[in-house]
Amino acid sequence: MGAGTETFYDVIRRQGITRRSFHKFCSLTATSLGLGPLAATNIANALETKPRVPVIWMHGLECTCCSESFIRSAHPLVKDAVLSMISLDYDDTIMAAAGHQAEAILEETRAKYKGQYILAVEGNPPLNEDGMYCIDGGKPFVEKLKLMADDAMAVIAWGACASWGCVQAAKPNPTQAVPIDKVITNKPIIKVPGCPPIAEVMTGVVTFVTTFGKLPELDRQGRPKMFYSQRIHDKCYRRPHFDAGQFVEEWDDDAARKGYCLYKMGCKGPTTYNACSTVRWNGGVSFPIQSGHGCIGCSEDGFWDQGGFYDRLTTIKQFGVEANADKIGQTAAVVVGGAIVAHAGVTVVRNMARRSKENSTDNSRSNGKSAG
Amino acid sequence: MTSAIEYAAALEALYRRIGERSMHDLPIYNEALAVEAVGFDAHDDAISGILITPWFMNLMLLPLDGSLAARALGSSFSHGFPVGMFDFTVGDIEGVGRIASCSLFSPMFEFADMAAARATAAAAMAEIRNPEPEQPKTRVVAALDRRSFLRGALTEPRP
Repeated sequence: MGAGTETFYDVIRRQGITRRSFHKFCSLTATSLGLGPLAATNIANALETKPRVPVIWMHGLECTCCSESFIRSAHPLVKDAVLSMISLDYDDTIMAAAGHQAEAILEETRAKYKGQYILAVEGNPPLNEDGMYCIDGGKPFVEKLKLMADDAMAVIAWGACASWGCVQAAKPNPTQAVPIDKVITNKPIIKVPGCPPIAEVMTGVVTFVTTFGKLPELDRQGRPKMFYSQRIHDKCYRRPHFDAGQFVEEWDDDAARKGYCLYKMGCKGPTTYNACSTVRWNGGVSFPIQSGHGCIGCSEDGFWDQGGFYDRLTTIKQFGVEANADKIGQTAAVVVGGAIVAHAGVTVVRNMARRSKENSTDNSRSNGKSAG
Repeated sequence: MTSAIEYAAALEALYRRIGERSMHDLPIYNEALAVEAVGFDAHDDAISGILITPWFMNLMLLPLDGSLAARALGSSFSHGFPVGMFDFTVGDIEGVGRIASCSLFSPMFEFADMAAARATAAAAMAEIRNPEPEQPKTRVVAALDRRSFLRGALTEPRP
């Protein structure tokens, strides 16, 4: 846990990583962020010249699944990259320091890097009984959270807990757990929902913020557009079966074996904004639907209170349209008049085409015209 | 060889049947809409067009070189249009065989009536084939422009 004055490049060179590998890493990162080849140069430049950004990673009411996901990121490789890219000054789960020594780091970072460090929050604060349901280092977590947020440059809300509340805020919510944007109101917050979020999405967000020194473009709900602009349904490989009305009717029926659409088995893909169907999990190996189970909608607000995981979606009308008024892939507003209608068509085409174009710039070299 | 009109008609008939058989009683079915193919035409050795149904609006693609048959079910590939690249997912439908689709809208509750859906599809198709020029960007440097390369202007200006 070093000071934040060395650059990422200094650190990896010291670890014996070659310059060639470094540049390879930069282009991989650019690709995973959906940026063009020129961005790789910018990333390399930033990582060579900018001092590492100090990161304070705090844990409230949570299950540590975000940390578990994060440390399994396949690319950028966490081992070599992210833990070197940032200066992870405080993370009570994976740091060596403990007790008073650990608490001192918080104070030190706050004083030394005022307005320069990133506060990453996993979990959320409970407000009932003055916050006594989550005591951290002898103080209510909510107080420490507010204190650390005051001097942070930006705040990252990891996972459904910090973003929306998740299971600890599910009805009847006895501890009055709230998402962090209810207590941090003076700082920009990047919400990275999911239970847990996809590892590559997490490292992608960290990479973006640390290399470009600014927040990625966010939607109206505060999520990075580069990863949360499309629904699972939009890019699902089982989508042709949905279109053709071919559904799994019962677990392990013939249709299930054929890999038909899981909508009738409660799949929440049509209402869930996440990158699972494109980025996938475990280094791109698979994702829930590919393993034969519907999406449970874990990155959506209040997913624990949206009915059972196996209940068929019946309220798409309200859910899909109202809950996601700001979409870039598909327009959400109800299309009524002629001019608006035409605009919706043009918008959807432009956004989709542009996205593909950016991705294909990088893929084309290795994969030719067609990927997959 | 299939003509664009025949392909559009085949898809319409097929999805109309699917609608009646499996979709009409599901909550994702917008009863104000019907199945209709919009703007199907052959360009650059592929038939493309937009298919509207009460449960989705997709850009459909049929490469005329027969390459679709060799592609794996559920795989995806990209295809270039004047406006840019689109990713298509490969499916297999009884009666038509391999199809390639790219989702534009689903579910379809954004659309109050068929006229709205039709106008959206027509506008989308026009944009795909004849994109309106976007606002000119400042200093566009082509990735492999020889003159820029010799000037050392390959990269974007650093911030």
